[in-house]
Amino acid sequence: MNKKYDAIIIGAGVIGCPIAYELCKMGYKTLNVDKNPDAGEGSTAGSCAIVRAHYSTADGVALAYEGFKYWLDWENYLDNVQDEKGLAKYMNTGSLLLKSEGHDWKKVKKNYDEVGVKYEEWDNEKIKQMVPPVDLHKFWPVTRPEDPKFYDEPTEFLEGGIFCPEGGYMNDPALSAHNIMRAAEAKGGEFMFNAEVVDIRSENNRVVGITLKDGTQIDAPIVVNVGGPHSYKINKMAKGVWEGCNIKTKALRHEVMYCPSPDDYDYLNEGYHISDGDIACYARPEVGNTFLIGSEDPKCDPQEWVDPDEFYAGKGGPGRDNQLTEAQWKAQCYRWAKRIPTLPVPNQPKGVVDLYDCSDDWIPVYDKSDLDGFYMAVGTSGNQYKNAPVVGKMMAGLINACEKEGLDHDKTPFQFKYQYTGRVMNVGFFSRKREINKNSSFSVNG
Amino acid sequence: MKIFVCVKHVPDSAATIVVRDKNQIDDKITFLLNPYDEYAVTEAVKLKKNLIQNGASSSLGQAQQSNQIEIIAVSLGTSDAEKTVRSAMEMGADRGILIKTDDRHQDSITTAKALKAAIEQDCSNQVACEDQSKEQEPAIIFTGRESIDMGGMQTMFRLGAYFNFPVVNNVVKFAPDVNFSVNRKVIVETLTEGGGRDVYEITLPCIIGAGRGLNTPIYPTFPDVVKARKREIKILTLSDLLKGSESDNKGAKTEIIDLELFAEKRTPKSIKGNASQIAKEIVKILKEEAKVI
Ligand SMILES: Cc1cc2nc3c(=O)[nH]c(=O)nc-3n(C[C@H](O)[C@H](O)[C@H](O)COP(=O)(O)OP(=O)(O)OC[C@H]3O[C@@H](n4cnc5c(N)ncnc54)[C@H](O)[C@@H]3O)c2cc1C
Repeated sequence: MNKKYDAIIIGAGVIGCPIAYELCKMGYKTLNVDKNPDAGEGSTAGSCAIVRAHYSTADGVALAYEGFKYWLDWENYLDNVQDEKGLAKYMNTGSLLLKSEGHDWKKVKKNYDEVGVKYEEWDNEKIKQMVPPVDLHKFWPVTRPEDPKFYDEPTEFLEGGIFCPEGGYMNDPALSAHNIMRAAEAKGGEFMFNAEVVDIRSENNRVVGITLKDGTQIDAPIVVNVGGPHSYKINKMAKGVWEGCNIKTKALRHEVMYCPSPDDYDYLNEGYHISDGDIACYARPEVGNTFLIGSEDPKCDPQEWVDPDEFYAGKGGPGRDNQLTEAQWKAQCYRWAKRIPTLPVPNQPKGVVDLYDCSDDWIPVYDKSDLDGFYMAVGTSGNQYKNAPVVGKMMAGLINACEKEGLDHDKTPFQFKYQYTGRVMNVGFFSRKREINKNSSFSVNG
Repeated sequence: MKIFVCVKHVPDSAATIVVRDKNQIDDKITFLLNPYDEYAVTEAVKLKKNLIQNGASSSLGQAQQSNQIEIIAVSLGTSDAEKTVRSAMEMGADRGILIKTDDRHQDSITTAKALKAAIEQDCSNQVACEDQSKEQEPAIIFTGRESIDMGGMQTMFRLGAYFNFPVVNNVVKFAPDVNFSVNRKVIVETLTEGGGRDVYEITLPCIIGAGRGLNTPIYPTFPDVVKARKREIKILTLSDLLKGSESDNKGAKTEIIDLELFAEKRTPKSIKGNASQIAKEIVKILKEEAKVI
């Protein structure tokens, strides 16, 4: 006899764990299945875990802003659960968005006003005072170090920035997923590791369960795809699901660099998260007084869409496998080193390479599917870590409304009320059936 | 005064090495400045600064001295090794010389001969030292204590033998003598096996093999990168350089017959228990298995 659950969640990353947690709180008997050995060991482990509110849509801003409240109140969110590994910590450094041609900051500001996000406008002088080693020259447009224009002397200056005192990062993303797993377990949730899902079984257009690589079958009337960069592979396992999505997902390779802070600058304790569209980089502090430098994927950089299984197995060769490349190391570090001219750039690349589960418009798909009982929280596009706890609640609400209250979400989209900001979110915004959202920045900024 | 730094373009220690055709590594990985050579370059830069500040090299003014003390990075390697020479220049070398070859594998005999020939050629071509009697000679040659790809630890000794200069390897402390301007002596400390230290007093010219911990490598900033772009790298070819010389085609040329990965599989194990049990276990492993404490 197959084991039975009310809901099976494929994936135990930072999105899969809170979905289980919220469903458990509603009385569902859940099982998370993950092929990795522990929670948060997928792309969550490689995440920069930055928590910031600037998005190009008001809905994006609202979702992120709601998320802040959960990170700020982490222990309560977890219902004070114990985790033998300790608790991840939210570092509320504040977040600075430099005004540049690389970001539609005017739109961001309008969204902040609409949602009620607290912010201050800083002029260059104020930024210099708060971030002493910064050079506020305008380096736009973004180029690569192989291009001689990269070394052109800048002549103009940026026009200040927008600072949000709320914002920062979680210091250990994998641990944060582990914490939520322990919280879910305390509410009756179960987790199964080293278990790869190879098939989604269905009958009469209704999901009935999953099959693992070793042949084990587990049954549930609800299955949720939270497979991160593998999401498209899982959607393809379920009958008609992939075909029924207008918005598709793919895995995009992304490198993040660790570069030491200049000796005379205590970035770890005094620095902010900074988003800098002028050089297409973002940065946040990391232990060891290090700058963690991510890329906003400018047009001039190569985009590598890869097979996630090959990538994680270290296959595909330089630029496609899970090793940093020297060219990208130089591109990201030198871009950042223009902004911080005293930044020392080591010869040996150090950092992480992981995958974004990218949707066609860089906005996630939080939705049901064309197969009854099959749901998905996918297409997180490198920017949904910060929203994970809210997404958990929203997905659990959506699943419950469809399964228990007979809601036809495709016809009458589920309306989700945010607990803290009180705003009502039309979850149809994240529909798999949507047309590509032209308002999107088509980048990690969502 | 000319300070030479010999640098090697080696595979990134973090790269996944794949053996091809039995005796080569797949070279589509990142290659960079040999990590020990980073200490060598940094020490050369520190020495130059020190000599300028203390006016130890002559009675000339500081500005003139800075022109007269020159750091030259030299490398034998394939054309992509130019990047490594450039890295050394970004770290503070004034100029670079790349001795180009098509064959990535060069043994320590050929390497030492090539480096010597290039250094001698540079010294006879240019008069940059204030001490006319010594102009045909390098003042000091820095190398790393070994290259991390071959780990042979021979090149600096062969170079010393060919030049007839004293060689000290695995140097962890280096300083010019207080009377350097008069006696041209340097005081160096080396790490010996078993953790002991030997102290040497050497008269220039000499060869110094930089060991780990000699200094904290100076990494380049963006302005350093921009400055280094404008400086020259002279390209020589190995065959031209050794042509007609006694060393042309002579001497042992080692060949790699078989290449095997040292550690093909990593076998991580997890340490369980409470914090103090885990800490005890880690200390035990570091002492007994890794033997590093
Ligand atoms: C380099 C990088 C930097 C980022 N920086 C930020 C940031 O600063 N801020 C931010 O908000 N977001 C950021 N993100 C995005 C964020 O980290 C992700 O959106 C989030 O971690 C995704 O979580 P997840 O649970 O959906 O996916 P994952 O953590 O990848 O979890 C999916 C899980 O599913 C499992 N799985 C897949 N297929 C199967 C199968 N067939 N059977 C069983 N299990 C399976 C995997 O093993 C994996 O554990 C970043 C992402 C990356 C890659």
